Amino acid sequence: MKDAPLTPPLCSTDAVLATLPAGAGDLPGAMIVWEGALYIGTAPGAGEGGHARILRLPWPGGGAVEPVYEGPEGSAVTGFAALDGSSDAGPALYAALAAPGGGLILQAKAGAGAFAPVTEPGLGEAARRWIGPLALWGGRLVAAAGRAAPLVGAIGSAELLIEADDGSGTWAALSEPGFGDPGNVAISLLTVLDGTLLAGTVNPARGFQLWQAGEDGAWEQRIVDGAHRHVASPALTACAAGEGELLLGSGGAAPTAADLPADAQPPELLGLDPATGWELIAGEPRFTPEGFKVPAALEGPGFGWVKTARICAILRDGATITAVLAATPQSARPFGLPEPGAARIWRSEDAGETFVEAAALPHPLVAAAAFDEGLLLAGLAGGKVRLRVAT
Amino acid sequence: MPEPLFILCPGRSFSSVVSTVIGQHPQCYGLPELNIFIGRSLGECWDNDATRSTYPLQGLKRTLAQLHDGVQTDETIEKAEAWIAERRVWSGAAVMAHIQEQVGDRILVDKSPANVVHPKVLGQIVRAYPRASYLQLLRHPRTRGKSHMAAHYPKAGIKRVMIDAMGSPAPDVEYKWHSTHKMIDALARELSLGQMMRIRGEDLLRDLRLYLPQICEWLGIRADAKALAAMLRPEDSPYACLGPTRARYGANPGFLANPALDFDRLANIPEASLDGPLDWDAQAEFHPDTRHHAHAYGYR
Repeated sequence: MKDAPLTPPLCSTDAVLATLPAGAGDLPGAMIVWEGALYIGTAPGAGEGGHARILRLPWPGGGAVEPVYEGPEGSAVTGFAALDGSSDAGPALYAALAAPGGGLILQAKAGAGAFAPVTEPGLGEAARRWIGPLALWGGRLVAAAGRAAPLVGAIGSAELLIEADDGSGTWAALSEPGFGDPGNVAISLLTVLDGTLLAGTVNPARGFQLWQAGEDGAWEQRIVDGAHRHVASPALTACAAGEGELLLGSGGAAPTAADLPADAQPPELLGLDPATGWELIAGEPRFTPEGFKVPAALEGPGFGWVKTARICAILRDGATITAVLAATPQSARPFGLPEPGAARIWRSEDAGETFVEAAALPHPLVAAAAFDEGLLLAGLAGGKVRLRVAT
Repeated sequence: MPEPLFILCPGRSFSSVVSTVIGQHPQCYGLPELNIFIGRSLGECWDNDATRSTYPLQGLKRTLAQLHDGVQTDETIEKAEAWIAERRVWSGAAVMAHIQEQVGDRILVDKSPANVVHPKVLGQIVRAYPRASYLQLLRHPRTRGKSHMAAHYPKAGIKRVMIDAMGSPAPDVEYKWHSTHKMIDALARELSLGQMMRIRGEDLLRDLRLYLPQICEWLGIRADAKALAAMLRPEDSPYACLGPTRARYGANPGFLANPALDFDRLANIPEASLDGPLDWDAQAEFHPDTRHHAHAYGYR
């Protein structure tokens, strides 16, 4: 089948890197580039049986897709983190796995090729079925964990754990569950900016929160109540660091873009300056306790495209900012007809002052990730997952 | 001439005090409730209001008396009535244009509750003022409902209407909050980015010095100390008091009786809750649609 042409062509997404093997019924949930290969962690589609896989293929040129891990029934890969070679442990790639018998963290050593669990189920408590996302902070792994799949029911706790630094394999709480707020049902984003750990929560009742770890073990809340947009911004879904700031994308609360709720509101793009606070780049102007927030790009939520539900990935390269927005799922449309342009890419060449629509992906977007070489887009076409590179 | 500012909300949403505060800015002119868009002509508006009040269009009459004669007395109010009677065919926009001529280069601030009684009325305003500024003023549905019930149903029983076709009945006081804000939300989606802003009245009144400069910035008017000081004295408005017999009101009677800001009281406006029995119907709680809607504004 020939792919539909992409318009406008400011951003090329012509390069189809690979089509994932059919039959597994699985969808990409997390992607990372490590040691010259692209690793794709999958999750079963909503309502389907199946299990997680980790697939590997050459990067950036593409090539044969090689399965390197098969998870237990009902499992899903939720995130990756890479440890570089400066550590005593040597370079390693970690994958977070949600699993009914307790979530796991898997490890692959450079050159070894296979993943194996390096933790007890649930990091010592099997009730922790959800592990992820992951981050490496000060050479130690940090993992979010929950006792139910996030957003499926509201009983999941957003725990944040850090591995012991004595090699014992034990894990300790790094914060109160949900940072003390039971409305924080999950942690959707973990990132390290200039050595500082930041965690973004999913809070369907009040809007996402962004927390920053202090040197004394205390946590400081940097953004509250979905940046005062409340339930219209229930989750932080993407980030990118650069030029002294952290770009943040919001979105509907769901484990994957394919599961987004029908009433998800169009997302916003924010910038966090560690010294001065957050600003709006694209989103809804509003009065806030932190001042009058006007989007720097003079673009509204979803860059004016109201049928968007999530910013799936952000790529920052100097003054160039590229954001990938996923459409509201077709299931949310009354007659189920496909939305023209199931994902859209917006690009700024002037650090967020102005944005133009760079490309539209013709297929529903499942996941996206930003790498040095460009954006990787996983779209569903003809029942198969097609990987494209946007440059 | 500048575009007007329309404050949109159901009644009992702090609109009298908020409208007057903003209207006291040196570059603004705060109006009492004109209610001149409820009909296609001024005559229709008069007749409509006459079904509810012995003295129709009191806010408009006070405005005309003040602007034409510089004072609101029985005599100048009668002159205003005569002025209206001679212009029954005028549209609301024509009346607004006349008022604008009188006040000069200042932003007219209107908060007439009738502007949001029906989408047709609001649509008429938006078509007449497609570049105006619109401020959606929110108040927690519980405290708004209590205020509404105290004002309108101190003794009478409550009516019930359906919030949606499939839903359960809910008191009309709740429906009014939900349906009015739903209508305003729908308008927001059609306006340009930033043309309509939203603010919770509780937030604004708790910290006027924080939010008023933001509103000034949005409207493109001065936010200096002198302007802010003027805004914090709503009692200086010629309409912030009871008027002559034939035009006593034009705003919330409680505000007219006591228009000065009590900063200590405002700073401690209590948080209301969406949980628990309704104050006006102990057998019921807020409808799920109302709760969902209120959550979207950050109420809990």
